[in-house]
Amino acid sequence: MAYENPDGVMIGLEVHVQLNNAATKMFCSCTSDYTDSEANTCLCAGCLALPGTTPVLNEKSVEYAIRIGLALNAEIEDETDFFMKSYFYPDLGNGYQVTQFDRPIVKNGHVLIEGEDGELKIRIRRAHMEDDPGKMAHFGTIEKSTGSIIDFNRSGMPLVEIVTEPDMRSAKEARRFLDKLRSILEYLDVFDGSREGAMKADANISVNVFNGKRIEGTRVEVKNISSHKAVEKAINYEIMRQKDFLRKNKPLVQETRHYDEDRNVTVSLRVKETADDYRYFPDFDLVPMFVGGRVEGIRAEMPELPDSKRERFVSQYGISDAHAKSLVTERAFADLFESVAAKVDSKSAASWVADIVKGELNYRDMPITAVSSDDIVSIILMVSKKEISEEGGIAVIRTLLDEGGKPADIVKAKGLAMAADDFIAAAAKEAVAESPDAVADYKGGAENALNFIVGKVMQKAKGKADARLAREMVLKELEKM
Amino acid sequence: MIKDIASFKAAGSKAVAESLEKIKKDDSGIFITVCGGAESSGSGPLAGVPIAVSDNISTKGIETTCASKILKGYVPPFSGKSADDLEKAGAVIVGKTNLTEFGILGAASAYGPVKNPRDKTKKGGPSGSAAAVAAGLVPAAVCSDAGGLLRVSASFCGTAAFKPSYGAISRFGLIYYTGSLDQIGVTAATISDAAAVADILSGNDKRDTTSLPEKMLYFGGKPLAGCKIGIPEEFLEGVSAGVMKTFDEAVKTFEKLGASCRKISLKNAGYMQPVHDIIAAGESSAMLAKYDGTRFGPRAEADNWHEMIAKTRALFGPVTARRIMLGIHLLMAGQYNDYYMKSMQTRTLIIDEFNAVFQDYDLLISPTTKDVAPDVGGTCGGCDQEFSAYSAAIAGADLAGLPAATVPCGFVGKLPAGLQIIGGYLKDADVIAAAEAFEKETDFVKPQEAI
Repeated sequence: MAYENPDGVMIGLEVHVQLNNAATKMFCSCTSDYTDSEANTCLCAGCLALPGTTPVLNEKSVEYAIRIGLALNAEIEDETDFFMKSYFYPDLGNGYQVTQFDRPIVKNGHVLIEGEDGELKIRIRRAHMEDDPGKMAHFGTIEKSTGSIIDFNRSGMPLVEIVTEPDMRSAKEARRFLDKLRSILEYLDVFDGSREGAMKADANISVNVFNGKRIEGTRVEVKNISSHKAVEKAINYEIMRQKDFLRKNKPLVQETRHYDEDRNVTVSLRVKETADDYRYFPDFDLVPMFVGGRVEGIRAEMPELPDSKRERFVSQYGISDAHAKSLVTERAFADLFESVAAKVDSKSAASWVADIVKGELNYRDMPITAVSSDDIVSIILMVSKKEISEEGGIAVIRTLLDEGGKPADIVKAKGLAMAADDFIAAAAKEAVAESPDAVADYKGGAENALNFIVGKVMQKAKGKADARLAREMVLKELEKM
Repeated sequence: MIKDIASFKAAGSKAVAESLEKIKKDDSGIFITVCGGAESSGSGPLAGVPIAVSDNISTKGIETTCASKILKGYVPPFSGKSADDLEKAGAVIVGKTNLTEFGILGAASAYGPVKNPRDKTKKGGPSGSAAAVAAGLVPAAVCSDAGGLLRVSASFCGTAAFKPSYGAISRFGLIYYTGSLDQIGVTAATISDAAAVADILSGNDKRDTTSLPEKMLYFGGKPLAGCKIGIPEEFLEGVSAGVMKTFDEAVKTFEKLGASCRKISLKNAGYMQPVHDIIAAGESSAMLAKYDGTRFGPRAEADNWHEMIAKTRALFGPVTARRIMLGIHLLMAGQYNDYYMKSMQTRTLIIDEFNAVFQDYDLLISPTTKDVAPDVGGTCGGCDQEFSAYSAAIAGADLAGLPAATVPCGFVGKLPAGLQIIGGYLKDADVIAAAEAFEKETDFVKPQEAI
């Protein structure tokens, strides 16, 4: 069923991606990993924009931008250049940001997401390179502060800003786009999304239908939203606010708003009476870049991306599309699946990795590195050989995550090993012999009576029997009678 | 008394001490900072030679002010490539020379004007570097040259100066206000000395993206015999009668040395100064934005950061402030296409025209400045008019990144006049060869007794 979009919501995103895997910053050799460092310790004269410092482009950041462009199915500009974007802000050392203007390195791409009514193409208008300013913190709130401090560790971090067309129609679609984008970026190895500030989004939101009629909506920009969950909430709040204004006939103004995560509201930062004039002009310190010649080499080295991996998993391993989709979201899970599938039946591998391991890790908020593929393989093998039950297998994984250890040792320590088949067969014989009433009931057509006998077998095996096997053995016994 | 590098070397270990002694006594506003503890160190081609460095070149541990109140007390934690290279070559940086604020022509130095060693009632130019050489305080001085900061000063003081092709000397550590027009150069008693120091400073520097990949060669240029020299008529407009007389003599000298000189026309010459000024204003509005009191330099007291930045930036002198505001205005969306964009396009036409001319000619010559040094107390003690007062010939070489030298070519009364020699892009050696031949044939460096 087609999605009606009753409020005519149009959402466009500007996503800032920090290329924090680029080893060094964009224009100097300072580290791009300052996560665990004290404020103002990962910097040089250039990060502080001291007089007389000159920028030297980190070639890796250009390569990463090209990778991103290729992954977004976009065109890569042959000749591209940097511009200075001027504005005063204490955390912007140079008083200008080095960015791109009319020749962004990436343009005209798209990403496919799962929309409200099936596959949806989100067009990418452009993606350009720029450097990150420092980080300012205020005593008090942003609206009324008594003082500010600045950390320049972030100053000069390489960024790619990805700008979409307003192709999303709900907060959910916006979130799905961000999830998909993050997944792609992690595949590309250009960033570590777990680091603070690795990905930030500005959302442009307008409501274009009122009382069932098409109206000219008012575009409102909500800035600097840091998590995907917050993006969804901020957009939902903003849609509600705009609809409310329309209903009450209150005028909406084109403005920039800030999302206050604690209060779950957006607050006005500044009203755009005139367009900001950033006085863009060519950066004379950096010569134009001719990147056309590098594109094919980079394309040849591109990793397999989530969409094609998903298709391959379905065709190569014969697993369900739902499993494939879940596995490819994070490359680490996809890799884990493949190494497990190399040693055991691929369908079991898919359901154990996608349904059980992923779930148990998420529940504990643990990284995938907490489990090894060898451990998963040995658990699956024990289950398939009926050495342990499926429930036993899950218990092994839980213990492994909570307490550590090796699967075989855990099985032993916890007494999870299943009873041998002949023991169960003997127990079944005994149970049948001990339950003449139930046998009579069963023969009389009361199917429920079977459960009573199977329960008895399980009692005798002290739970270390596979329930299905116990049932089979009991049925076999009953047939003999 | 003007002395060359060899004379300073001849003075041996006393050279630096004597130089420092004289600098301390100087009352002509030539230096902003004297490097008292400077000592001769080690070997190298400039071992024990005192050299002056313009105060817009960063020197580690030594206050670097760009002659602006906004950088008062700023001590860089690193040295510019050229300052480093000088020290590696054994030279001793004895002081930081005065300049118009940030080197902007027409702006006033926070430390007052530079007086001309040949006549202290006259200006020594926008930079103290040439005056330092003319007064015999040092044999050579290193200074940037956007707008003719170096060449104009040399012309006024009667020293030789050379700015190489754009990118020959790294700008790392140079506090430039207009990056696309600026190039570090050297002034010295003779053009050979200037080229020798430029040679030490040249070579690729990974820290400056605009740095040329290969080291520039300054020696072994084309001899003057058979050389074709063009004289752009437009560069002669507005030149004073006195300076014109010295120039006419210079032309005769070149012909005597076997060169053929012909008047030519550069159609775009009239645009050179305005285009230069628009680009410089635009670039300076961005380059001078970092002076906000946040990370270095003086900080004004205020209740909030908006006010803090505004009050701190009021430390810029009035001409610099106006130049920044002009730049901001010209870069705004409403004006950009009409001024900045047009200037960039015209700059391309100017470069193309120079390239075409250098197909037919080896060198271009002209008076360096329209007139000799003006009065210290004249109208241009910090005014906007000086912006464009000198000569289109200066702006043209900046816009096209061409190598240019100035050598003394005579006197108008007591004051020297300069001859500018411009070469094709990367034809630095030809410029040096011609200037050296001219210097050898003439004797204008010598009347040092006047000082």
